[in-house]
Amino acid sequence: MHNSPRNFKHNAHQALQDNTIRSNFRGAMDFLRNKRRAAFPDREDFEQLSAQGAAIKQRCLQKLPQLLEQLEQQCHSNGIQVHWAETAQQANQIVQQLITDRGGRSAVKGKSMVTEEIGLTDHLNQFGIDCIESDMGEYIVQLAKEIPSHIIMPAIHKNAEQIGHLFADKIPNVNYTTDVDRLINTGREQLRQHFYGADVGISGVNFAIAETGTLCLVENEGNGRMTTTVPNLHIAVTGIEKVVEFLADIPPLLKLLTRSATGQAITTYVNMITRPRQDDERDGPKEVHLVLLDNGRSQAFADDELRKTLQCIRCGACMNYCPVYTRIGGHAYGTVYPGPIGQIFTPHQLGLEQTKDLPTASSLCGACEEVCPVKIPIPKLLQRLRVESNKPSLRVKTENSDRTEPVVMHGEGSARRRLEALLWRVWAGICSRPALYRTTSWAVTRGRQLIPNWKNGWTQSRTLPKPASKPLHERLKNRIHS
Amino acid sequence: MNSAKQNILARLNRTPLSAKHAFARTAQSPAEPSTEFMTEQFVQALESNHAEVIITVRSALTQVLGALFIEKKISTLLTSERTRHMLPTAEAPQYSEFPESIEIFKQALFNKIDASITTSQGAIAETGSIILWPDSVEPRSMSLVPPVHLVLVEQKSLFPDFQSAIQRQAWSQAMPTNAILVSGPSKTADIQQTLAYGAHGPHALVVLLLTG
Repeated sequence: MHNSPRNFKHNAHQALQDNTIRSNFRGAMDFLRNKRRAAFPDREDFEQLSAQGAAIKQRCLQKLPQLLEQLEQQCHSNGIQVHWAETAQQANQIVQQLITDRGGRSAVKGKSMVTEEIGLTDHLNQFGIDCIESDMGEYIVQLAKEIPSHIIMPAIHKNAEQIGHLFADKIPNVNYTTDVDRLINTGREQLRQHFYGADVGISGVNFAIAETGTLCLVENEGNGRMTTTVPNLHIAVTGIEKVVEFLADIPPLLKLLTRSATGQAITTYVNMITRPRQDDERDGPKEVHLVLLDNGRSQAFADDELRKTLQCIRCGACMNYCPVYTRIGGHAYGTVYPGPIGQIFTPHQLGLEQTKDLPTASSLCGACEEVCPVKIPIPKLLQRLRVESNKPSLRVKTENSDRTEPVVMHGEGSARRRLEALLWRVWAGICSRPALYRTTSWAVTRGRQLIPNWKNGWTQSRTLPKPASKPLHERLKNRIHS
Repeated sequence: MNSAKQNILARLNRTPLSAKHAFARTAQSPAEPSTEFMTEQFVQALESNHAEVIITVRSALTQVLGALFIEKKISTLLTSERTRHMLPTAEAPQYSEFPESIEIFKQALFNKIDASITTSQGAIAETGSIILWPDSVEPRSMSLVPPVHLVLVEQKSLFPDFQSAIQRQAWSQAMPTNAILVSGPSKTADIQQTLAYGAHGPHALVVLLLTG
């Protein structure tokens, strides 16, 4: 049920009836909200800092093509090899080829949403390469053969009892316990063996710095450092929107990221990688590779409004504050990135045919935009995606091929229903012709008893409003005449 | 794969971008706080992140370390030529140094070392962060793999915040192979939001703040 946003409505319905999911998410969201609130005690400070964060990300997006080329050049001169991938498939192939060429059989992976996005673990498994998740939450989720339900806290949908049972079932010689210290220690011992023996470490990137050719990774556990320090080969995968211009852009973005995500002033580790192991150095990977992934990002980039989607620094605050996410949890979305950011980001990867329910899964309450550290106007973008998915599908031919391509995004117009569109056209026609409007409103008010009491769809949980006995126009006219 | 690069860049370059967003570079940090203020801020931030801070004058360091080794029951300590001369010699733990490469040392590093001691490049008061620039003398796994990490921080190398450290140490002109900020022992809250220390890295971080 989890793996397609097409099942969103069904999934959401089921999740709402699952009391364990409801209480696990409620507890977790309250926890994260309180942490964030304590980290930004002053509303004005937050406004100032987030305005700075938004300005940095917008500046970097304005220069995105140049910055990507600068990043590549800097990385190259540092000894980091850069690869470009247009699609998930290409990225997977690049990573797999790098490992296979070096005879690698085992990989250990630091927490990374982009490798979830491309389904890297499954791809590597098909080629006989073991790929172990090393973030505690991700490890739990992998052990349970599930997918993350939150981008910062992947195993948030599970409680300690569930994890205790999982460990006792799946790991040899481990007894059931709900003691979190003991559970974490079990995870530590298991994963240390993998860090020790892995041929390759795979990570994501929080910020890629064009000025210096540096990959910046942020984490609390140390698994990211292990992954990028112990194995001989390090492969980092990142979306093209993660590039920033200057090293000096990092401090404000870092401050916003960690405070928004977990309410921390800073994470335990900030890891900045600029070169592979040098001749005189005694550890660190001998090779470092960076895979730059497009996968729909250039589509969002092409539109002035939709480009704001790419400002995201993946803190997850929008999901923590979303009344929909809090109630249905991350799995119901059927997407790798759940919650508000997933709703505006995923349509660019999967197309609107697959994701047309996502833009409507919001009350547009605006909480996500209010807490966003880089001021992404998420409600506005949700509305824009509603427009895109309901507009008439007008397709244009590309310059040098017969293929037709959508104007703004793949799958545009796919939620459009002819009957609905026709009804709106009729409605517009009536409203723009006074005589017709008067006649229609006369007929509707006089025949209001005839309107049946539907009990499905929109009216399932709402009372259908009854028209007044006389339209306002008529009543006002009568008042003037009397 | 060069075609992937060309296709991506072509798509990005197709979009005309207005020049109206001419944002200035990130602004300079405000006035310099006093050393006392920074020290207090630094210690408080580290302690709230479950790190231990010991403030000591350099001349008393050897003695302080001796007591620390006993208290922490450290019997094997990973050290380097940078710190070796500061360590106690009587009733001392067994000292070892990082050999020429991790490949021949991995087994011992993962299984036989109780603690490590390293120097630092400086520290950040605002967030209680130690700046590490691991190098050939103090490799990066030294501060990561052993269960206890002892780190020496000079009080005079405290910076008010990350931005000022980057600027005054001119990081962008000469980035090290690996730069790390450490702000506490390794931790996780991935199980039911319950904080647990010693997730993958050291479960204890002891900061020796050297004054004078």
